[in-house]
Amino acid sequence: MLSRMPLSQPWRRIEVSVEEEAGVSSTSRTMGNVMVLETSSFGRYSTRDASSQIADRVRESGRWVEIDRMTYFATDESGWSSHYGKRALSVRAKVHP
Amino acid sequence: MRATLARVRSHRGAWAAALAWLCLFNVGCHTTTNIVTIRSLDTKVPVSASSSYVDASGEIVDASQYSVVRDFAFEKHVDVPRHSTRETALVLEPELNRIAEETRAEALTNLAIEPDEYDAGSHSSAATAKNWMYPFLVLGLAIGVGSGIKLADHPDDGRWQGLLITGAAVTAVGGLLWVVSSLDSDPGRWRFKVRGDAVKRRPTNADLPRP
Repeated sequence: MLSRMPLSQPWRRIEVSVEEEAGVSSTSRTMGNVMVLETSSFGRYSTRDASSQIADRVRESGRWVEIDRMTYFATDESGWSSHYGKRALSVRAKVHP
Repeated sequence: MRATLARVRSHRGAWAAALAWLCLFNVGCHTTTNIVTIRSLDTKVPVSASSSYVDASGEIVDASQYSVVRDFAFEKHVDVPRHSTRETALVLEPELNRIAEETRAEALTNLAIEPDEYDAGSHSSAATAKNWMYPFLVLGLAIGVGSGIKLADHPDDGRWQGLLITGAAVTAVGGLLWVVSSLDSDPGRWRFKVRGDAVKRRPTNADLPRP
């Protein structure tokens, strides 16, 4: 469940995350005397990926899951000679038995 | 050895500029971070990411117990200015409540919040322009100021005149890069596709009118 539940039933908390970090594929072009790097092609992060991970975790022990918080995270760091990028989806959920 | 030291001392300005260049070469790291959070949705009807949902009484309603009134989809995006960090709460309730009201749905199921490929905007190109801007500005100003001081003492010396022009040209390139980095300001963007089904529970035998 993504909506807030008014029920006060017992639950336990689980967290899953789907993420990718990489040196990020880059293309370059020349602009005057300056080489310009352009980043491209990142993975796709779907609630379905996270949902299936959650489903695997709770299949044995839970009846339904209440999503508490989802976080989509993207960061890029560029220095002189390096580029680092990270994309992640993390989900915190309550499992109701 | 003495001759070498004397030669180094005579080019103090050039050595200082080279040192400044090397120092700047090791800084110039730029970071763009875009964090989007989605908390439990405070909607008028239950919203589920799966085909089942839990109704207000706590009963689980599966797909065999309801019919789909209408499927829906809409897009949202969250921007962050390049080279900055921002955390944003994604608000979906107004759209979901509107869809539930329009369709008179009892629940929204199979809700997927899927980001397209994240667009880093002009993060990298602006970082590159900024990284080159600083050394050009520092080197150009060092050459310009140094040769200007020398030229004041030796106004007819063609070497210092040439160096002054070189310093101005290098500074101008730095200024041009500053303009480029300022104009190159596309934000980093998460673009989400939100889709799902508006559903209504099928009447049970108990709900049907008795003959």
